[in-house]
Amino acid sequence: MTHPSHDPELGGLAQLLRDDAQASVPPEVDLRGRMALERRLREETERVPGRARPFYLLGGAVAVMAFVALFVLRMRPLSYEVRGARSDGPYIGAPATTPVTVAFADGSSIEGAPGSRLRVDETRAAGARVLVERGRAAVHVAHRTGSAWNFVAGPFDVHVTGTRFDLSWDPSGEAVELRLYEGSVEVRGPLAEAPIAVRAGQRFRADLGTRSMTVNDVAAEVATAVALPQAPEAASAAEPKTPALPTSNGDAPSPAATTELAPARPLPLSSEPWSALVARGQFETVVAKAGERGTHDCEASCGAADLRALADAARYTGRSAMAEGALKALRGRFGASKEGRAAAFTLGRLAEARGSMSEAGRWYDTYLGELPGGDLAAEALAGKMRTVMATSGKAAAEPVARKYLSLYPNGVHAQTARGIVAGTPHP
Amino acid sequence: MPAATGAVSRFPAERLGDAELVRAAARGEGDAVQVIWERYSRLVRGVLRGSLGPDHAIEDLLQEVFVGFLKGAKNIQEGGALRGYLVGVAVRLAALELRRRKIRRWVTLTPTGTLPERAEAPADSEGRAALAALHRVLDGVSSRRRLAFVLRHVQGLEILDVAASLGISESTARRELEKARTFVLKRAEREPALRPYVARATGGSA
Repeated sequence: MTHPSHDPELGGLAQLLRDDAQASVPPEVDLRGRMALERRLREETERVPGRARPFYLLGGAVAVMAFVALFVLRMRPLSYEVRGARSDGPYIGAPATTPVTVAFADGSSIEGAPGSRLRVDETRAAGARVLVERGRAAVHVAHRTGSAWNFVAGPFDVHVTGTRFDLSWDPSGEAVELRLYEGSVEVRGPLAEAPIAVRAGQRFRADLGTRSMTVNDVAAEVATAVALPQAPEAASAAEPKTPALPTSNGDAPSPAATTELAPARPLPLSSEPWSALVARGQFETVVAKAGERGTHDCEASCGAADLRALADAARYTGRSAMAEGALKALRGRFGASKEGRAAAFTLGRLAEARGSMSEAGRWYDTYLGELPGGDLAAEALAGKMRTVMATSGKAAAEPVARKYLSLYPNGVHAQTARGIVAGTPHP
Repeated sequence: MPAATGAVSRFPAERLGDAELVRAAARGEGDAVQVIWERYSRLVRGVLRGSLGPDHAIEDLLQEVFVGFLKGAKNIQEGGALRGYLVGVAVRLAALELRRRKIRRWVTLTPTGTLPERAEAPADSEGRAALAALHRVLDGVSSRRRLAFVLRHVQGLEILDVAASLGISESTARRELEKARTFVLKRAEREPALRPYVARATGGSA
């Protein structure tokens, strides 16, 4: 059918814009929008006033105006200023070689290390929610009555009232590190049901890949390791327990210092979309819902968004086999979709985590073949570099390392790549 | 005749016409709002994206359009004209955003006035480069002219609807479209990434 505005001269140009304008958005983006609208509708409905005489309405309006006049300055969200980098809206990226500083009106500040990426997701009257999307951030939160700050690194949420700490997140390794200098904070995350308290002088580290967390006393270098319960499938295989992260001096934590957490209680089931539950950190609920439906049934009949959500929830709760099943179903049934293609990278990560380097390499190759310009292309190429190195040695990994360096000279794996290139004897 | 059960089933919202949906949304019925989202979010997103290109602001603006609708639903007289209403709001918001971008360029917050990382541009690098070049070209025309171009050539609106959405007369809309068209074709020939698209359109003459 001819487009109503068909213009032979503009044909190709107009088509270019049309194709982009009509491109489908990822289901989770649409879902977020739909849920936000639903929330706004609820708010609007609750705000509807009852029947009232104009006299009362006028009195109410005056009272509200007085209230607003009195508190508007106090309740105004914190303003902030970015120094040392360009910011667009909430996104702040530190240059590769210099740090960036975000200074808040209440005296709090965040210094992002070179190459880090932050997002000031929300500012409130007495705090803000800041995402450390990549790299390290040195944080100083000025203590005030009622202040409430949240710093989010991957699936971990650090709740703060007044303190000074460093927080880093490595999105490729899915590892978080928090070093506290003053005050105390609470960390919530997928590896523990209850919040974990971290005090001044301690360091908290968590690794989603190995499902381990440690809280170290930095001054004494005495570690208290917290080993997590094995996922059901892993536990049934009677494998040794997942080791906790090494302590700061490089030694494995003492078994005597290891405390097992109680298994998570089953959470009440919800009718919300799984992706929304994952977005809110309710990973166990998603896994429980999939179990209720039957995991294999879900793999055969769940939609792409649910499979993706199940894979994430399973990964975050250490159920690697369940995550792999969901991801393979996603590829098998929705292989042409963006989510299906992106699943290749996660399958590579899972294979690498269990030591199947050849398989991991194949998945990374698949990802790079299908999405060469994808969001995770740099990480996939780094993964390929690691797996080639592990299976075929440094000489074989050298061309991959060179390619990485040519494409991502300031990438997070550039140092590793340079090491491979420098250590390989040239012909 | 079977005995009545006493249960009254509601008429499914997805089968309602626009006018009924607007009335239901004004009463705060969530189902109706969901159906309106289902029916028109793609169109509104398309208008915003066609006008602004891939941009993180689009989902926020999309929300603004629908929230604006929710707030004003009670006052909409012609519910049947919902499509035009939503497109009109989207166009006004897009025009505001284009103005904001120009201000950002003037005060050099960013060199291009756009966000550094763009959302979901076409997967192929050639298409991405061409689209970026085309938006660069469109940056050179006034907001009103650009929006007229997008409504006509991307969304396929009739001239009368373009004029109504922009709040201008039909003859002004025609003039704006002609000027935008001439400008785009002339500038596109100077953009290497766009030459194949112009050549395709003019049969290789460009």
